[in-house]
Amino acid sequence: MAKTKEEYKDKKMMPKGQLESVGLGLTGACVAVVAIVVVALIFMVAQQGLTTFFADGIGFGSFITGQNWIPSDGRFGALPLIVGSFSVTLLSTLFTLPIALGSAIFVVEIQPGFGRKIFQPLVELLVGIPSVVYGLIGLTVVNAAMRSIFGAAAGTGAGILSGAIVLAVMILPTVTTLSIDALAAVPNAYREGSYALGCTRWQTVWHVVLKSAMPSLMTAVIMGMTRAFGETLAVQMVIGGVEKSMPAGLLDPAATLTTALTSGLSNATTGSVEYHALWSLGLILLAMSLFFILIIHLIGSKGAAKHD
Amino acid sequence: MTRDLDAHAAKIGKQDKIATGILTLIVGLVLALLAAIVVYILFQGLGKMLTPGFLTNSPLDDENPGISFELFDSFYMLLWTLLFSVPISLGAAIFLVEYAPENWVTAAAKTAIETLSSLPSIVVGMFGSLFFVVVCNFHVSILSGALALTMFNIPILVRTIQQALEDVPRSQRDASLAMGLTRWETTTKILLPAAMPAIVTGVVISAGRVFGEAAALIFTSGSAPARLNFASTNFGSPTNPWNIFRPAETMAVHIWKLRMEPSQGNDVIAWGCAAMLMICILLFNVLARVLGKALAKKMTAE
Amino acid sequence: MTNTRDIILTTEDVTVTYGTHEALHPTNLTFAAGEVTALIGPSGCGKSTFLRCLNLMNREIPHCAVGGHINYHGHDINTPKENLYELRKSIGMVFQQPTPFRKSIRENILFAPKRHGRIRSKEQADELVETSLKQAALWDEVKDKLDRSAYALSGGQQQRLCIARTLAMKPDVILYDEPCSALDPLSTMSVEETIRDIASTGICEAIVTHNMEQATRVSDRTAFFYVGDMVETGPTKQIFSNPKDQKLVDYLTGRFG
Repeated sequence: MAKTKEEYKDKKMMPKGQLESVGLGLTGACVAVVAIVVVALIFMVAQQGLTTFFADGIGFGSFITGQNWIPSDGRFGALPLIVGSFSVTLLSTLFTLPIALGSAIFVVEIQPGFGRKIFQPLVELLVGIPSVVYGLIGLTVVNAAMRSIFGAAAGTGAGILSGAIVLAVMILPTVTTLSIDALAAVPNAYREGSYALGCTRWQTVWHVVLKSAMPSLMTAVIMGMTRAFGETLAVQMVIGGVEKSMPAGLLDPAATLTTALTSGLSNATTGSVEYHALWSLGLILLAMSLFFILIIHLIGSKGAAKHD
Repeated sequence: MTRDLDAHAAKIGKQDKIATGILTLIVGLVLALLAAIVVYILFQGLGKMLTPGFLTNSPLDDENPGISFELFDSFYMLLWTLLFSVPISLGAAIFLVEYAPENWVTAAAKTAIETLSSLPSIVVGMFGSLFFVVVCNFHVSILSGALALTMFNIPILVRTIQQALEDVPRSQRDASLAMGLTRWETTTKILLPAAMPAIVTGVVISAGRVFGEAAALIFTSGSAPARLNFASTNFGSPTNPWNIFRPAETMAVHIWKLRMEPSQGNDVIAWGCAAMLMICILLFNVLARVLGKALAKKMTAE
Repeated sequence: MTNTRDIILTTEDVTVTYGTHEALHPTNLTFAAGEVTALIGPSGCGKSTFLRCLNLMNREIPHCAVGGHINYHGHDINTPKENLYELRKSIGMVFQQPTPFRKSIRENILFAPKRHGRIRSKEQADELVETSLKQAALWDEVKDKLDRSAYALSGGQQQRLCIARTLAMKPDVILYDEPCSALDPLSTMSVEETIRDIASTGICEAIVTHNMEQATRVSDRTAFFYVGDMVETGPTKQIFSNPKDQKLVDYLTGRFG
């Protein structure tokens, strides 16, 4: 083809096409390993979790709606755990949202320099604090605070409210950071347009910025909820966790899907009904995370469709 | 009419001031909360942590139990986790950025990684307790624990590395490809060196996350303090610290375990352990930034 | 002029499609050794897209399909079987932004030759660095700092280093994609001079530019592109002094840009 000059007769090396196949093969194998492990996980959780209903003779309906989770009695009603998980998740999101959103508005709209350089790295430090350490603080500080505020009604201080407060602090950095990104992504022209109409900063933020960042803000909230829903040890340490019937109020000790899993799995014998029932809880957790991902995708594609 | 407008202007001006005030207050609260958390941990635990023998004594010491085994296990577990998760994440990220054909295989792989990132770590631990411990027959061991932590770490690392590779200007990639080089050579010789500061920062920050993780470990590497014999030369022995087939208990698991079995003195040890854990993670954070900056400087300075 | 020189590259009805959108309509052009061809036209007219067909760089863009024949030394390279890596050794490319690698000046030059197995001895490497830099008129400016980072150089020097790096591959075609648009006037002049010097050694060159003055200064032939069509081509003098197509006339007189 082209001139093959004698002095540039190439040294023997692996042909480029082959080298490219090696690269593709090596990196593809890494992705394949990850994908296979995830598929194996989903398969295994589903297989073990469904055994409860198909082999152990527990009805799915009674599992989901049963009001008592007492494995030693053979009573597998997951409703108290589901209620526990949802109430701590929703409450913690409720506590976090105004604080995260407020901080994000401050950082993006009022003091961007301080926000990017100081506030954000500090908040990200909160992500790094291990969940057992949060649990330890919650156990000492939050539970004590509950006792001194609500007196005898709070019992030991362990309960849904304590769990929600600890979770709120734990998901705060996630929601804040993502909200900051969401607000920062709003084009400046929107703000200038609003200012040009004589709107104040507050009116601009409220009517223009928040409105156009809404899909991303919702994603931020869902991400926070995902984390809250799956959080385990911190919640287990502060929520009480021994009560297995329906919690009567926010100050009642309760158990969640994750805490029941943690305390049950070490005692359950492999292959027993209890063991399978615990996997069924895992299956619910798995289904919820897939559900959260689905919502995030739906918000994403809806947002994209709106911008097109 | 004019007066109405003036009144309105004054009203919205006041609104603006109040809003700004509230927002400032919120940010102040968040910062105060962060400071309070860090200070409280150190206040509760630093005293115990600095007690002579606490970091060097065995947890089984009757007189003055320490956390030396947990400290060792935490770092040893982290080492294995990084050995597994960094190469796999690197490969997966390179595939997704450089090779990924736009088809359902790639879409499925992306979904798999996303699923992994949103899975509760207890579910990963549960899976590990059956898959690694029983099916693969690795038993409750450092290996099983490190593999569970690898699953936990991969999505975080893949995202960071992907971002770091994408941040290298497109023109660098094109220039190398235009000289007849493969994507593989382009990635390993041009893109990775350029992305290295960001990758190193990401890996060290993820190491901090792994270091504090406990839920994935309870059922995979165990929650009983290991009996270690640092003089052991039998690498198959369960007391040999370097044996990856022995059970282990990290500092994070130790804290949880102590709180689940309250007894005299456990509380103080848990706080000492928490302070040590916190300090390690703060150091990881500082290290990540310092290393990243130093590498970036070295790259541009020459 | 063309008939007296060796034809190196010809395109026959080359088209480029992104998904379903045809960005470049059938284009026929000929490139000869020792000649500089300028591709001009308003932005988005398909001139860069066309240039990127010639070394098959469009294959790196997803959903981008190139149709027609591209004959290089009489052999159609627009086939799936064509060895991209071999081809790009002989058809070099220089980009809009200077793209030195984060390596020393020497390593920038030797990077690709090494990977292609062309470097056997230190002497040969030194010689290659020196001749390439001399050809790109950069040797005198950098000979004392070959081991310094390429990023220590000025923009114009960086671009000439990229040219030297391409020359080190001993190509017989070099493609330039707006090589001066990121440079100041003085650097632009030195790069243009380098391009002319390279042509005089018998290498075939093609340059995309939006600067008409530049086209008249460096090129022997010019092709005018407009909305995905190659509208008119011919010797540069003729294109600029005696344009035939009304769109070209409008473009040259500044009715649109």
